[in-house]
Amino acid sequence: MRTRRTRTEPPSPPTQTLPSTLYLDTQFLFAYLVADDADHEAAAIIGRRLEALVEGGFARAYLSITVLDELAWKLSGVVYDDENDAPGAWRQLSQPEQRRAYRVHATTVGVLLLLLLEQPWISVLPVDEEVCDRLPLTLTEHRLPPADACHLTCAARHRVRGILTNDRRFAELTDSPVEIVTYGPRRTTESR
Amino acid sequence: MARTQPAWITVREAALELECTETWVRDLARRKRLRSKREYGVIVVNRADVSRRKARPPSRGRVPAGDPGAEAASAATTEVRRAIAAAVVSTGAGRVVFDPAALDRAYELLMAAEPRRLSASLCGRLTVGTEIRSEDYEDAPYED
Repeated sequence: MRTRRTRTEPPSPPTQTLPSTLYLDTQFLFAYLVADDADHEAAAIIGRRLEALVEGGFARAYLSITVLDELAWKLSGVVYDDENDAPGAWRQLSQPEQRRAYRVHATTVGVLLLLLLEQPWISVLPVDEEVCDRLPLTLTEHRLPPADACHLTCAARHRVRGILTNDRRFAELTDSPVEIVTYGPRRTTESR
Repeated sequence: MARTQPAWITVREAALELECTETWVRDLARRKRLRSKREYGVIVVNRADVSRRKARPPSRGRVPAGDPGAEAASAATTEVRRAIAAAVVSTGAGRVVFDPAALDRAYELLMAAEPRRLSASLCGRLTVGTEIRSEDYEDAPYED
């Protein structure tokens, strides 16, 4: 009688999978840049891995002018809170006050965006005529806020395989033409 | 009868081959990394160039002969690329599977080989002193 032999193989290391092309959503880049964001640690980890994969020629990471536009506004709020040493102060401002504060901090934000664009692992996708043509359909089909619809349309038009974000509006999409890739657990479990 | 493959392929075919975007292929053509020409008003790129590019990652440029610093940097870059490639378990169908721990080590090598990279200092550059979220900072008001 033949005895069944079991072969002991060394345990294989846990692996992680990512789409080879990723659109970096504003939510991800904000978490990457801001140390106090609830998703910062997870964003930093996935950002480092993505940077290495891009460097090795195994992946590509993109943003668009819509991302920069959203980031500029959100980061100016962070800079305002930081400079006034009052977290949450930005939220208390009226819209005219926010606009004035934005103008004050525009240079600081501009330098940050410049540094981001100088990252060799991040490329820029054009928001071209075809993206504009497709945008109304995306708005109608997915009922996303305009900026998110721009991200989705831009990523789909350029056939990017995934959008890297923990934005709940993207996570709730059930029929996205582009895979929604969430990253890591948040530092705290649920929203405040 | 055996059919020969055409020497020139469309930007879309090249993008599929290289698993990148058409924009990226056009950019490579514009920067003369791929030979290109117009056929009936459509941009086509050289198939052989695409195959070569697919076979190996692009080089970071030539190392000047007799420059020990540049040669050392080049050797470090080669080591980094080897470490990254070793961390990648498989690729295909638009996905890349990797060993996260090995890739994290490769990233450390990358930072050591290219200290002028700013990503380490850019990541987490802003702070407000308490936990926040992207959603805490509203989108720009467009009605002005």
